[in-house]
Amino acid sequence: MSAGRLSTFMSAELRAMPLFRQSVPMESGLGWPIPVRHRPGWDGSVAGVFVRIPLFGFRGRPTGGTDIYPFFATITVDWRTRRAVEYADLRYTRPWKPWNREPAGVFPHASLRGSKRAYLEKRDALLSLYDEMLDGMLHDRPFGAGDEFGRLLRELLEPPLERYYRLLGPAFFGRFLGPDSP
Amino acid sequence: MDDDLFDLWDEHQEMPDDNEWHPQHHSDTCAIAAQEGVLEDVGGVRPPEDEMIVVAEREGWYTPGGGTPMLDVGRLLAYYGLEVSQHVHADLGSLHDALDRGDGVIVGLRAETLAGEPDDLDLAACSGIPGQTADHAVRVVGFEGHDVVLDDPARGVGAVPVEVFLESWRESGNFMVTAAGGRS
Repeated sequence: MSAGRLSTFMSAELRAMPLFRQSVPMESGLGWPIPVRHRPGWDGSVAGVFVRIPLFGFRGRPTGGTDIYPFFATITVDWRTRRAVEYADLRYTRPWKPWNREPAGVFPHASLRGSKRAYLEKRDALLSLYDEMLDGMLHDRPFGAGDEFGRLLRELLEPPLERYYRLLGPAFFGRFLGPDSP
Repeated sequence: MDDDLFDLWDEHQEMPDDNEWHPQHHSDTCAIAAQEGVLEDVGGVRPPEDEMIVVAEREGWYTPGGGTPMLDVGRLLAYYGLEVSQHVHADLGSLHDALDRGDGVIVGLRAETLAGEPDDLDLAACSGIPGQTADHAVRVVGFEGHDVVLDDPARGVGAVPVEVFLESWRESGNFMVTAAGGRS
């Protein structure tokens, strides 16, 4: 499967941005993006489409699996121009303690089984659906693959990070993961 | 990280003399450990990693739970008195030249490419998260024939084929930090 636009952006273009190299730790992982429709306050013009990407730390364990840490920052880009519009250090903006060295959990979670190849194929499939969703948002077209998107997102999203995802994008994750369990 | 998973690593090759491993002691301190290696090799000092972490965090060069931005790699070397240069889009020639001068060298490498794990590997055995194209700071020790010898804070000292090194270096933008003797 060829790399989609969001996949290429996340794997290459974002990391090459001067803002990223200046502000974002090079070891960072990129979480599942949060599409945002937003009307810029400075001119009140037509709402734009933005992509907010949460950033987290991770490290392989000697015994297998990878420790994953709570998000410590987000970077948001205007999806039409691919220009960064915001970098938010969550130590400043959120109530949790991303400087805590304790991991939130381990990757892969129990329901994610199989090979690296199988995981990458599912990851590419989900990112391709993101492309479709973002295209629809840019051109005011309905997104017809919501069920498939939600199923894949539920399968791939890291459960130890779910509560952080929901805090960063309550409407998006509420729509595709369902209501938060008490 | 499990050394057994790193099948490109050849621990049996003869290494240059300055091959002591400078391991990272936290999830996100590869850049700090790499700078520790250069400080010892070029500056003749070896501050404890914990001391370097305190300095880097205080100065805003390191985020606990995150790591070090690429453009902040080398700031600790300058703090401890070395002459530091950052190079974007460096090449093998400039890397050779720096090592020939006796400079300490740190490069940014694409960790997933460097690990080179096969696609059919069980997901639970992967040394990271597939698809995450994170970069990783390592100290370059030298060359051994057709291999590049790295002091990798996560894996140890070992040699990788130059083709693998170049690919993982290119993917991180061929970033390089060089450091020469102290100011004093």
